Amino acid sequence: MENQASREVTLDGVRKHFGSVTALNGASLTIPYGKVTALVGDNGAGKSTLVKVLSGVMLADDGEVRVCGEPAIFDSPNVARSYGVHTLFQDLALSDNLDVVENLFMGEEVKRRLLGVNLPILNRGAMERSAAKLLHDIGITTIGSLSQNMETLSGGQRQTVAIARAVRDQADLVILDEPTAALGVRQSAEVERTINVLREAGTGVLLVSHNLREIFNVADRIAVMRLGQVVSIFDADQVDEETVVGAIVGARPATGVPS
Amino acid sequence: MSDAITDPKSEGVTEVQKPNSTASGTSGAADQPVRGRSFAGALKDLLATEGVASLFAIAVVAVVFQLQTSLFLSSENISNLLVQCAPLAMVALAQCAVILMKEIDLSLGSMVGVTAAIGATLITNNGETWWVAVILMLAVGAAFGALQGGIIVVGKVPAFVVTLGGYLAFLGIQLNTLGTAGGINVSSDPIQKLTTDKLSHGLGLLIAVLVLVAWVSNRAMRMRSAHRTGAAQARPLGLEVMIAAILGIVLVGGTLILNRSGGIPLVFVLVVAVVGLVAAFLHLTAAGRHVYAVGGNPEAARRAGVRVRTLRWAGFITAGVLAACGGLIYLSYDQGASTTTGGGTLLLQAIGAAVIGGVSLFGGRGSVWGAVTGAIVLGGIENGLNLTNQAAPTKYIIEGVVVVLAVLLDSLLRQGFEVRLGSLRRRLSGNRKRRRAAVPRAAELDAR
Repeated sequence: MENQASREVTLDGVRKHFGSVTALNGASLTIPYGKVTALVGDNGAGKSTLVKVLSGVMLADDGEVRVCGEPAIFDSPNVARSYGVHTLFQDLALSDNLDVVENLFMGEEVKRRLLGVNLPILNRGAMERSAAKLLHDIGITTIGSLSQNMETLSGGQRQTVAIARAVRDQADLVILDEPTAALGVRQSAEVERTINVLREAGTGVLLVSHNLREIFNVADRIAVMRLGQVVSIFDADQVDEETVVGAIVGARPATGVPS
Repeated sequence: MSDAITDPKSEGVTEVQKPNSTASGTSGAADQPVRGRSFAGALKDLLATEGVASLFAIAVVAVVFQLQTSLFLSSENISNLLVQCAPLAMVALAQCAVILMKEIDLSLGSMVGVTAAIGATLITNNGETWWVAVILMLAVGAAFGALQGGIIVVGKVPAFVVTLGGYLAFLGIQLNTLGTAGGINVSSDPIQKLTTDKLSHGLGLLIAVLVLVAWVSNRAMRMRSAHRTGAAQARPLGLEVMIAAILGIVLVGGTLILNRSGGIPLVFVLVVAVVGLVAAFLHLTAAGRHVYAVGGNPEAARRAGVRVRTLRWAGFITAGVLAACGGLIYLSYDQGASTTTGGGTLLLQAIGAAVIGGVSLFGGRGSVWGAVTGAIVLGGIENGLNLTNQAAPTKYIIEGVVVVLAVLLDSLLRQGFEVRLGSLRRRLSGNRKRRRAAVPRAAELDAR
């Protein structure tokens, strides 16, 4: 990467209407790499729409998305991924009937080579070794066998496999949409640990969550959305829960830095 | 646009250097304690594998009919049975090609009939050489499959509807091709030999031994690699030896028995070879794994960059070609084509055979080998009922019951074990009361 300052994804004045409903009303947000940015807000504040715009599921009506300072048009999830922006939706897009290795390498399988030519035969051994190293590197230790089907994994393990997939694809920014909403305490801790590993590796994380305890555990910055706009951005170290909740419900004037 | 943005994916996919690895190069699995698998646990998993139930079904069919007539397991009858099963196995394999991707092809019976009719016309009426006719038959199967697949994939019409239309349309073409006579005889020698030829004794034994050696070396390699990576799913050596021994007895013993009536039927070997090719494609190539991915979660596959629509289309074309192979076998076996070729219950039997063989109708699960074992189950029942002179109505009733029973058994083996062993374990560990308490679900979910 060139300039440290520009390692970020920026949304600038993004608008999105659904008929007469305004979901995003000029939302602006900067998401730096190597930091965990939490996105909070009441239901209907525009979090989901913002994530959809960032992930390439929806194109904004107006406004700009910039990756490292360069304007980008995310008109499909594949385009967003090619810019290094990976979104893990709640359904995680994993195949239950396939095993961990196959899910990690889906669409990017390693083939056997003969005399420098790719054969159409899979190199299962190389994929297994690479998968084991990948999971080890991001601190996932709870998966017993890489050859077990996804359906045998717990919710937390599935979540971490989905994150590992994004890492394998060399994501610069991973967007997690309510990653722990359906998980128990132990499994949530596992996901939080993985998020920390991502940050240390220099990957940006945008964490959409309702769980303030979790947010204060892992987030560096907390962005609050209200009525389709990002109304405040707090430094997680210098703010208390009450202030954040106040900003979410709009009971207090926004005290954070307007972006 | 900076290079860093546009070109991050050109790196080799195996290199995962993003997170700073503290322990360089150590395999993650090596940190895990290698959990040795008990014999019983591994056997349970093996029995719960899709399609293994069909092997037991074959054994049950053999015992039941052998008790009624000693003819059933005679060399001649086994040989007949394997020839009779061949076209059904072929059509079941064709059905698997689409079922694995959550689709269905109801036109395969008619496809068999129409390709057989075209083949008969080409050879007998037009005097074509046999191999030209065979190539044209396969081409017709591919073309019809491509047409249907195109309408399904591009036009987004449900496969059920399109192939139901195809079923009628192809039947019409079949009847039209055969004309008023209602049948065309084929007296081409090479075509007839397909279902009458048998492998020489030595060749049969050689193939049986080679298959056994291939199996053993493949398992040995897998055990070695499982040992190296510390994978916990390796089967205990005792179980592996047991499986290899059973396989060896069936392969060599079966060949020796068949050799007494001339040898292994050529057509059966060819069908098994085709199934083996398809199975190898499905398990060893990326596209093959993508077939399972599409069957399991099409949306996940699409997002991962799998060309779902192309793959589905290819599935229908493959089904058409394989159905044409089935037509070819009937052309040989019946020494011609008639209006009833590929009709009757063939289509439903093929679906039944696939399901008995453990291929899920919901896609993504099962092995194409199930097409062969399922076809032997259904073919064996039909053959046995014929030997014991039972009427057609009885045959239909029994076959219908068997299809449902096989799926029921499969489902019980897969889920029942979990449920029953789970509750047993809880009972043993004295947690029975807690299970009945107010929050059993959450506790169960967490325990998984």
